[in-house]
Amino acid sequence: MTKQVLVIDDDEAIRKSFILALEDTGYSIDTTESGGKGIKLFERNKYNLIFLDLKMPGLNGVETLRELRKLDDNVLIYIITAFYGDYFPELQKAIEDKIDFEVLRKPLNNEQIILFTKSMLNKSAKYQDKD
Amino acid sequence: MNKRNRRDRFTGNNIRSSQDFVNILIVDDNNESLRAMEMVLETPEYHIFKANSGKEALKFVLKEEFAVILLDVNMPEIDGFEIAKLLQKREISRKTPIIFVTGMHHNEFYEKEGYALGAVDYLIKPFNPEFLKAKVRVFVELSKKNHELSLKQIQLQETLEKERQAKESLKVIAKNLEIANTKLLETPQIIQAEKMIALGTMIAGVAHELNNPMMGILNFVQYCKKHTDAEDRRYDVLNDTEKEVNRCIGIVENLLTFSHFQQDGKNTFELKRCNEIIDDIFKLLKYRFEKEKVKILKEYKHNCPAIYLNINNMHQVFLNLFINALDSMMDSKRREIKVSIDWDTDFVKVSIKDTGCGVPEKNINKVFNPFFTTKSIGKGTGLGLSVCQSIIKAHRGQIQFESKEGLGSKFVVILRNKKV
Repeated sequence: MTKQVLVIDDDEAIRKSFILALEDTGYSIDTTESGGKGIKLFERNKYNLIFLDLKMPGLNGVETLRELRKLDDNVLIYIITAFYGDYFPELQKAIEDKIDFEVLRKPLNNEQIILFTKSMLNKSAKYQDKD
Repeated sequence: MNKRNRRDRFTGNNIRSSQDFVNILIVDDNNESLRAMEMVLETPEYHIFKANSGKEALKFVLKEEFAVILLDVNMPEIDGFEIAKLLQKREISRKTPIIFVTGMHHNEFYEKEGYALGAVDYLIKPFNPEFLKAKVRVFVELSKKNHELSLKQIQLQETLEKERQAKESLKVIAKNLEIANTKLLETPQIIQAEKMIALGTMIAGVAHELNNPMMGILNFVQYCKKHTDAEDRRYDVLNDTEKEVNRCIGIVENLLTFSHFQQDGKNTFELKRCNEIIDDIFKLLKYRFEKEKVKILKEYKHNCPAIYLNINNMHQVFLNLFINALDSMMDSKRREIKVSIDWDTDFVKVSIKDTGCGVPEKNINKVFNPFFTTKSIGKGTGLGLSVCQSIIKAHRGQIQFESKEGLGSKFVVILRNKKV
């Protein structure tokens, strides 16, 4: 079963990086440039792993995170950012509100993207097999 | 003049009069009367003047101030009332109380005339000595009180004048301070320092912006590399590109790490090892060490005790010290920086020794002075070391400096090995 990866980042360089890195892995990947569009995509399709940028025009990463969690509590969400200082208080609040997420620091190279995606999706595969 | 403490007969309070004695003038053409009154009034406090005529009386009045004048009404040449009129004309005697001494019966007419002249009392001959003493006493006390009052008034005027002058001086000082302050803000050093701060904020922003493109370039190159044969000439070039991009990422990361502390504005003290702070600075200055071919000798282990530091500020201190060392070695043949960390139960000592141009002996005491700099404008503000000293002081530590012109300099930062 192909797992779906969704990348939400306003920077084209980042979106292209993920596409190129995961090209030969067999995982299907969708990318979009805004939180709003990302939420719409998530309503329509099933994704197991979401990479989410923090600093975006319109809905920022934390706001997008909250909306996504309203739709699904289980999908793995990784916030990818170089620096989250500006959003620290909002992220703290999200943790207090029991909203689940992890953080990954940019920049990520080719190998890191592949390795990471594989291990996260295999984990969720194992998790699903248990059902 | 000896001052004695006298007691006021009426109130019992001590009188410390500014005059030791009081002048009293008795005017009577009859010498026996004069003498009689003098004898009654004789006290150490009273300085009694005797006049036989109006003329004599006037002479005295022109020279002295009298507390009270005892004036015989009935005298040849000019009578008492005439004399009183003359006295009233003179400024010095206008307010002097007069006791008219008269043999006449208490006559309303004379009383009226008398009071109109400023007289305040009458005494009938033959007089009762106690009456005489009492009446004189009252005016003496009045005169003393008036005198004290005038003195106090003069003092008050003087105080007010001093206050006014002080206010004027303060105004001038305030104005000068304002001018000096304005000039200070215009000094090149302050302008430069402000520029540095603005630049720092900008650099953080730029570094942050670079992260996304860096990630893009890295992944694009890696993708190409993956799809290029190892034998292809282009493979090596792509490999080199990847290395260079990683190098850029490293530089940006160091910049961000540094500016994060600044942006977080952490002003709290936290536990940190000195060697970690120095290693952070080395990462930042690595490119300069390589470019300027400076040899770094590290004489410290990695387990130096963690002490309470304001990490942000200590970064600033060591960055400043290392940059000073580097700048001092620009023209030196031998370029070495030796860093050592020693500690005992009380202190942690970090010493930074360079082989630069050093500082001439006459300037050694000035290096920590604000605005002292040997660099041209744009190269240094002169504020660096004075700020470092302030930071170290805030840690209740010490910073020491040694130097030999032509050989090099050494800074030793001494910090407490316990809670600050």
